[in-house]
Amino acid sequence: MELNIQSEDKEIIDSFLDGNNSAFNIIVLKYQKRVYWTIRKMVVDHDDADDITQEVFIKLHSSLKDFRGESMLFTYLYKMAINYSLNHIKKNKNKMTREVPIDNEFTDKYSDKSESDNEMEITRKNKLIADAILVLPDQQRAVFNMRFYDDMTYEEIAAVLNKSVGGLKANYFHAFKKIQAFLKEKKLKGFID
Amino acid sequence: METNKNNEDLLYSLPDYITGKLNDEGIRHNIEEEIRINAGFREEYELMKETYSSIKDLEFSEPPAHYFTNMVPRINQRIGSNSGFTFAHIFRLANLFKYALPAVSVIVLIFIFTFSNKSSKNENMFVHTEDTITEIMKNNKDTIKTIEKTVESNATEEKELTDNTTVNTSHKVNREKNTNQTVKTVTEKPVANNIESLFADTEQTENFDDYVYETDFSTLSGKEQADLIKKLSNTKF
Repeated sequence: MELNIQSEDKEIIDSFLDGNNSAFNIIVLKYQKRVYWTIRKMVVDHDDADDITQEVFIKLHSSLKDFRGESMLFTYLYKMAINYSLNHIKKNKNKMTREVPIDNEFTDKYSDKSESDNEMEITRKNKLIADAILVLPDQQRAVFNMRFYDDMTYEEIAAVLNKSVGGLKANYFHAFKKIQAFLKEKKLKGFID
Repeated sequence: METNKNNEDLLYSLPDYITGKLNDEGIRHNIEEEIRINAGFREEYELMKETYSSIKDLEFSEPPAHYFTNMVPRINQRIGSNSGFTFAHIFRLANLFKYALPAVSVIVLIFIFTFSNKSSKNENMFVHTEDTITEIMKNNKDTIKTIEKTVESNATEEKELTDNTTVNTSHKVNREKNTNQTVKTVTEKPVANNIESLFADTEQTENFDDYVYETDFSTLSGKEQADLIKKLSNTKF
């Protein structure tokens, strides 16, 4: 039977372990978007996210023979993606936590009239959320993304980050408060309505 | 205290309440009650609700077109390049050596420094011992010379005294009884006894004499050298 992205994870993994290297390509095709977006929401920058996504799949390729199937393949990949992202943030702490001013950079980049007002507004909003995420410390950023975007339960987040549920709730609340403070500041400066 | 803890729990559950992800009915009821009766809590709720409405529709910019189409070949290319010994491996090794090499160098230097200090200390000790022996030998040779001179001068004195005794003996006849006692005293005190009394404080003089005429310490055997050093060190002049 021919494998495709609808095939069961176990079936694909067994095929890969039997020597079918193309089975690994199916795993990449099946999970690349979810892994990429998990990482992208953590590190914000596309190039960084691209690099880390590739690293995660390369690591999976070398460690797939040790995968015991105790958890779902995506949970395994998700953990790797979050941990690689957290390591990246720690390594580039100064770069990652600095606040990127959305005012001048945005105005300079998009002041030409080639783009429509609607496109400009979308780009501005995209940049706003990216900058809001950047103000969060790594732990709060991870919890916020997992809870807000990925709809994970606190128990699932606790399993990924090895933290207590109570602490994660506090992390999520404080992440919300930091984003709130960031938006308030932008509003006071007149950058958002 | 209990109320504060409960309020904190409700506050931490507020984002989930606002985003519609709160499943616990009891907490939901308590939050609604708190919003109704607690002005501070209500204000917090309003601010957070406003934040949520600001960010709920915000999205990250999409990656470039065909980005996901090209993911598989790019990953395969990297896996292929990782399987052989590449510049990346050399770079990693170089990085390893960057830290390992200075550490190893420091350890080697410490060893060299420690051992060179020890051996130079031993050399110094040896030179010092050799110097001491030479010095002792020199001192003892001087002493031997002094003794020889003393022996010579005493022999001269003996000769003079013998001459005097002869003279006194010749006077004996002339002086008869009165001078007899004096002459006897002189003749009964031989010079040899005077020399012996010079060496009275010297221990093992007879053994020492065995080495008196040895002038070159290096011609002696190891045992003889050791014996000589031992004896000389016990010698009191």
